Amino acid sequence: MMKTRRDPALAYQRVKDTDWEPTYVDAAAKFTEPTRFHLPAHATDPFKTFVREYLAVEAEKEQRHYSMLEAASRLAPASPDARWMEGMKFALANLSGLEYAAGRQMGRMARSVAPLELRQGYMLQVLDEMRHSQLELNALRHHMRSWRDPAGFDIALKAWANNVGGAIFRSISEDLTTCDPVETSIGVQSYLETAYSNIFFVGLSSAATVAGDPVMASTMLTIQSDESRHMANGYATLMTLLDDDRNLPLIQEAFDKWAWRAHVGFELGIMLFADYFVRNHTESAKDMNRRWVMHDYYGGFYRKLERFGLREPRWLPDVIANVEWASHTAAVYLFGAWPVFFHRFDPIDEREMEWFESKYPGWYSHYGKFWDAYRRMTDPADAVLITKELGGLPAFCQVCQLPLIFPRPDASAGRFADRGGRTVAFCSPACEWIHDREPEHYSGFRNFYDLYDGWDLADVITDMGYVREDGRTLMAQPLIDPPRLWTIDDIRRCRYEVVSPMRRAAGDREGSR
Amino acid sequence: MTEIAETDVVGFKLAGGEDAQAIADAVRMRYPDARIEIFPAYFSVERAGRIDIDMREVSETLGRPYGVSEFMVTMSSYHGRIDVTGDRVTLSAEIARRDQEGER
Repeated sequence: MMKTRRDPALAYQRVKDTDWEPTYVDAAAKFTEPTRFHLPAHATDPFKTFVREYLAVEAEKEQRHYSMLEAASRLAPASPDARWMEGMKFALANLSGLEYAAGRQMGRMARSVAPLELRQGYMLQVLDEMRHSQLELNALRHHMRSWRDPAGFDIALKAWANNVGGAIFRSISEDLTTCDPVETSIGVQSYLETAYSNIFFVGLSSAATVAGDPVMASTMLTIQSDESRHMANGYATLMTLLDDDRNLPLIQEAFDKWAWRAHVGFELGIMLFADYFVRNHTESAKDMNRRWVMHDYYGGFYRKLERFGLREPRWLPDVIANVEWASHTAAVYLFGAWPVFFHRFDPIDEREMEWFESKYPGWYSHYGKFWDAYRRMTDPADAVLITKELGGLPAFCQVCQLPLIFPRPDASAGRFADRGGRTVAFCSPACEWIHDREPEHYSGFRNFYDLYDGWDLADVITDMGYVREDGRTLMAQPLIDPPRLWTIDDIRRCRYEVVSPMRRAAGDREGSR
Repeated sequence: MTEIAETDVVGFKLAGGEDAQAIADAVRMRYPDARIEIFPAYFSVERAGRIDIDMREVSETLGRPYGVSEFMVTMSSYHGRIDVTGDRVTLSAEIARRDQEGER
C-alpha cells in the first residue's frame, strides 16, 4: 500500500501555511493577465492533494500503463481493426496537441487565479496534461511501429498544425489559451473535461478493446483517472466564483459561450469518432451523448446550478437539435475531403447503413446518397474526385473552423458576413454571436484558404506533406485497400483548383452592386 | 427551456480489473440498490443520492491493504459532488455553497 496519507487535515493546513505574498513585485506585475472575475483569497479543493501523494499515485498509474505498453511492443496482439487504427492517426494527432495546450492553459490559470487551494489543483493539472500528451505520443509511437501502415502516424504532430480538421481543435485550443483565464476553467474543466471527455475516454475505451487496441484503451482510462481531479478543479472554481454575486453575469456569459464552443470544437469530433471510426457498433453517439452529457452533466449538475441564479446556456436548444445530425454531417465533410487528410478511410457499408437508419430515423434520406456516391468514386483509374464533385471544399467558420455545412449539408445554418471590410464565414448564429463579443479574438485566425486559394489540389497535398516516402503516393486513401493507391498524379488528373468561398462570396456581392 | 430532467444519480467509472471488482463488491454490500454494469474496459457503479466508499471495506474484500491513493489509480471518472477524506471517497447529488460544505 502506498504510504501517503497520515493526518490529512493537519498536513493540508501546514502545507497551506507555507504560502507567501511576494514583496518584490506588485500585484499588477505578478498577474500579467488579469481576470474580470472576482476571486476571494481562499477556496475549497475537494481532493486536497499533496505533491508527495500525487507523485505516488501517478507513479502507480504509470507503472500499470507502461508495463502493458512494454508487453504490447513484444507480443503482437490479434490483428486490430483497420478502421479504428487508421482513425487513430487523426485522433491522436489532435489529442496530443490539445492536451499539451491544456498544460499551458493551466499554468496560465495558476498564475492568474489567486486562491491558493485552486492554484494547487491547477499546478497538478499542468503536470497531468504534460503526462497525457506524453501518453498519447507514446501511443502514437507504438501504433506507428506496430500497425501495418505507419504513414500518417509519422507526421501526426505536423498534421495537428496544418490539417483542416485539426484547425477545429486548434481554434478551440487557442481560444482557451487566450480568453480570460477564469473563463478557461469553465471552458476546459466544466465543459471539455466534465461534460464531454467521458464519452471519448471512458465510453470509447470499450470500443478500443473490442477493436483489438488495448494500448489505446489503457491510455484512455489512465488519462481519465486524472480528469477526475480536473472535474473537481472545475467544480471548486465554479463554486468559489458563485460566492460573489458580481460574478453571476460573467459566469452566465462564459457558460453561454462554452456550451456552444465545446459542442462545435470538441463534441462533434467525439461523436464522429464514436459513429464512424468504430466498426462493431453497440451504442450510437447520440445515445452516448444522451447518457453522458444530457443526463449526467446537464441533468445531474447544470440543473442544480440554476438554483444559484444561472440560466440554461443560451445556445443549448441548438446544441440539442444538432446532436441528431452532428456525427453524420462531420462524416460527410471528413470523407468528402479525404485527400487533404492523412489516413485511410473506411466508408460504411450497406449493413451499417441499416444500423444508422435504425438509430437515427430519417438518416438515409439525408445521407444515403452521399455514401452511394462516395463508394463509386474510390478508384483512381476513373479520375473522379468526390471532393470536386461535391462542389469543392466548403468555407470554414471564422470562430470554430467547422465547414459551413452544419447542422446538415441540405440545411446549413452558415452565412457569409462583412466584418471590417472583409468577408468572413460563420457556421451558425451562435458562432457569429461569439465572434461579435470579441472580434479581435478571432479575426487573426488564418485558415486553409489564406494559404492555398488558387492552388491545384495536388500541389496543396504535396505542400502539406501528406505524401508517402516515394514523394507521390498519398497518405490518405478513400478505402482501406483501394484497387491501387492514389497518387499526386491521379489528383492532378482530376483538375481541382482550390477556390476560396469567401473570395467567391465577396465577388458575388461586388457584382450585384 | 429544454426538457432535461434533473437527476440525483451519482456514480463512478472504474478501470476494469481486480480492484474494480472489489470496489463494486463493497458498494453492492453496502447499497443493495446500486446499479453495477460491466463493460469491456470498465465498470460503472451508480446509485441515486449518495455513494460512500470506505477503503477499509474494499481492503477486506481484497485481503490486502487498500487506501484512497489506490482508489485514485482505479477511479477513471465520476459524476456527482466528490469529497475525499482520510479513508473515504464520497459522492453526493446535492451541490452546495462553500460555506455549507465547511473548509477542512
